This record gives sequence, C-alpha cells and structure tokens, in this order.
Amino acid sequence: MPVYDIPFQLDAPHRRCVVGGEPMLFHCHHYNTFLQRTIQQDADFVDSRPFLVGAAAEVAFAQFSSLFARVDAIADRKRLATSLYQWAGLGTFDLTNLDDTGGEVRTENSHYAMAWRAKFGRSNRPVCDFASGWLAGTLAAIYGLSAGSFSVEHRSCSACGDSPTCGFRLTREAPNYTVFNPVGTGALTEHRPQAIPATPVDYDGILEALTGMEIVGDTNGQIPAFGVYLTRHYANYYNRISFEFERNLHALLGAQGIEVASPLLIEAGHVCAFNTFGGIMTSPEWDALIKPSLKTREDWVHGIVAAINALGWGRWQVTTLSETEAEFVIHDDYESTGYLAMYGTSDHPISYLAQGAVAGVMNLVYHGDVASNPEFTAEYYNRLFKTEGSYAANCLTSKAQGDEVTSFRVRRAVAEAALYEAV
Amino acid sequence: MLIYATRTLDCASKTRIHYRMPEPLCERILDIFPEAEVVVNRFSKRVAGARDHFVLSRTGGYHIAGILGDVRIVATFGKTARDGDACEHTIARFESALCSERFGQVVQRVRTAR
Repeated sequence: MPVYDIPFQLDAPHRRCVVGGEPMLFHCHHYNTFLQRTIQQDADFVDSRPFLVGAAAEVAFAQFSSLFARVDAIADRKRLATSLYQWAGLGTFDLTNLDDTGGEVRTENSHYAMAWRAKFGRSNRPVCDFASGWLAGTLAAIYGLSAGSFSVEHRSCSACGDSPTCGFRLTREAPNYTVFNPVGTGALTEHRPQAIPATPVDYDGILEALTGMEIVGDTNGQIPAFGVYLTRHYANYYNRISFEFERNLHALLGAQGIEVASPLLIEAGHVCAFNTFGGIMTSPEWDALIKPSLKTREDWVHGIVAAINALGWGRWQVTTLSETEAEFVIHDDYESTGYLAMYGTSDHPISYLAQGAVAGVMNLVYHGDVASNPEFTAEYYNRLFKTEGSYAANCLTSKAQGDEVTSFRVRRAVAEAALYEAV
Repeated sequence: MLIYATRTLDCASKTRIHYRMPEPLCERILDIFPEAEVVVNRFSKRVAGARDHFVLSRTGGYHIAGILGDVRIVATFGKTARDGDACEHTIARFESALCSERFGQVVQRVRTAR
C-alpha cells in the first residue's frame, strides 16, 4: 500500500473530514456513476457537461490553492496533487508533462471509467467529467493561476472500450466549463445531540474504530472495501452537480423542474444506501466490529447509523425507531451545509441523498432482512424500494430551509403518490 | 475438515470467493502469502465484544478479508475476471496454501454471479 502524507483533518465533533478547506466524504462507485448517469441521461435536455466539469474544477482549485500556500516547488505541488487523488480512490495521474500552457495526460486508472464499465458496461461517450475538471482546477492551482485558466478536452475514455486509457488535453485558454465560486466547509452548527432509544451499539467506539482504519487508495488508486469501490470524494462536488441539475431543470420547467429532479436525486440516494450500506452490513468488517453487539433489528439500524457517522456526512441519529416508523435527525448534513453556502436559504428541502438513504436503511433492515445476508441483485433492489411495504421518507425539517437540523420520518409507503411528499 | 468455497463475482466483475472454514481462524492465516500486505484492525480493543479483522492484499492480485476467531473469509482475486489464468493461478495458490497449512481441504461450489 502506498504511504501517504495527506494533510487530512478529522473534525470529529461535526463528523467531517476536511483536506485543504474542502470537506471530503465516502461514497461508493455505485452512487458516483448512478448520480452522473441520472444527471446526464435522465434529463438529457439539460446541458450538464459545463457544471459536471466545472464542479470538479471548483473543488480541486480551491483545495490545492489552499494546500499550495505551504508548497513552493512545482514538482512538489504535482506530487501532492497526484498523491491526494490516489489516496482518495479516484485513480492515478502523472502530471509531470503538464506545464503552465497545458499539455496532455493519460491514465489507466480512472475511478469513473472503471466504475461505469463495472456498473453499466460500455459507454457511448467519455465519462470522466470529474477527472477533466479536477485536472483543469489542479493545474491552475499548481501554477498559481486564476480559476478557469485552462480548457479541457477528454479525448479518449476506457469506459468506451476503444482505448485502454483515458486521455485529456489541457489548453491555456478560456474555460469550456462553468467557473463556480468555491464555498469550502460552509457554516457549521454546534451539535446538540438528541436522546436516542436504548441500544447496546457503542456509537463512540464504532466511530473511533472506523475513522482509525486505513481506508486509502492502493497503487491503482482504488479503495476496495465493504464489497464496493469507495472514494473519499469532495462533498461540494456532489452538492454542486446535484443542485445545478435541479436549478437547470427549474430554469427550464419552473416548479415542475423541482418535481422532476427530486425523485431522481432521491433514487440516487436509494442506490447509495442499497450498495454502500448493504455492502457494509454484509462485510467482514461489520461482522467483526458491529454485529457482535446486535440483538434486535432495531440494533441493526443503530449499527448502520453508527457507521454512517464515520463517512463524513455529518452527525446522524435515529431518535425514534420501530418497524412501523422511524425518525432520523442529521446535524450539519453535507447537502444542506453546501446548499446554504452556495445558494443561500432554500424554499424547499434539498437533502436528497439523505432522504433516499434513510429510507434505504429501513428497507434494508426491515423490508429486505439484510441480516439474512442476501445477494445484492437488481431483483433485490426492486423488492426493497418498489414493492408494497417499501419504506419512504418525508422531510420534517431542513437545515437548508433555516431549521437547526435536517430530519426525516420514514414509514412504509402506502401509495406511490405519497413517496416524496414533503411535510 | 472441509473448507466450503462459494464462487461469485464482485461488482467490478472480479472473481470473489466466500470460504467457510472448518475451524475458527487463528493468526497463522496472516502469514499465508509472504508477499501480502497485512492489515489487522484490532476492533476488540475499541468496542466491547468486537473481534479483530484482517486484510491480506496485493494490488491487482487479491484482497482477502476475514475475522480472527471466525470461520468466514471473503477473497477477491485479479484485476478483473478478464484476467483469467492469472486470477486462477492465484486462487489455486491460495487454496493450496490453505490446505498445506492444514486449515482444511477445499471443496468448491458455484453460485450465480452477481
């Protein structure tokens, strides 16, 4: 395993990890590719490339501009950037041939290309929009230039099947993507944890154990863990692409645009819960660390909530819990924190990932009996989320709308129309 | 003293085999591949009742995870299933090592790919 020296700060009180002023969190390849495909293909009349690439340039530029304040030599800056990319499970890059005019770079290891092929098969278009923007933002920071100093062309992609590598060309000219103003960590609150039902699950011990694990990229820049390929990705990348998708739909369709965007983004949350939480709950790590203390199905919910607190998503709690319904409270959920910093107070709930994820927890434990160690197939997914008795979540409070916390009530859905009702 | 092996694929089409050992694993399993990178997560020191978890890995070769004191091993081999012979060679080497170290005798079953 490579040895890394990443200036990583664990902000345990806020259940966050910050590198160079950018919050970074764990998501798996299923969510990464599903979210991208949702944005690109489920509403393909939205021109998404400018913000998919621009969001990556935004976070990379902000992060490395901060980190490079203490790194002078160009070679050292390139080494730190490639090391961080690999550490985060995003793939590998060699930036030595790039200079302040741009240049070409290729890689055999791109997370998005690998993940796309694994999940969806061959793509009919290049998929490494994240890597494209990351390169443009990083190169500008390496040479101390302003954001948007390079255009980027994704010339070949291994996800398309006609090349074993992904290739990129950077040129010193006007950007061919949107340049956003970075927002960093956003405004965080002082958490006031609420009372939770009695459980033998040791939340603090699990947090300490999981955050103490060495979950980092291997020599190929991959993190195989919990049965999936993890990335320690940029919270503000997910935020920007999700909210720009929603805002573009709103600009095109008015209020209906929100109604189109929200179920699509919540569905991405279901996919995340199904694969990441399902992977965690059937992993040897779960069996070793968490399962020995579980006595009831309610404990299984507490166990996965304890694990979620180590993902960098904010502080998660389940405050009432039975098979009939549950309430989840999230302090500083990363979606709300990012939204407030990017766009100000929202007039509707926007914590789509969290909304899908809390329903996913209940579906896995009660509707899908994840304790029986099922196969994670498409049929199992459909049974969990699309059959009678599936759980769905309603947003009760939203930090993005000005509430102290974001919270959800999760119940078995009684009708399709009620699935995404906001209280 | 049979070891049951259930073969499937992981979500990136790598060959994954779930082994069920006849006896709980001891620390001897950590030495089975001399070239492997070995990580032991001493969860038992952090959480009451928890057990220690291990990973033996080599990039592009294998990722073998299990619990000391438990009978289950989850092993993922190769870069992808397309690696074919190289992957099978590593599997054979691992299973041979399991047998020669007297953890048991491998019996293989096949189940539907993920």
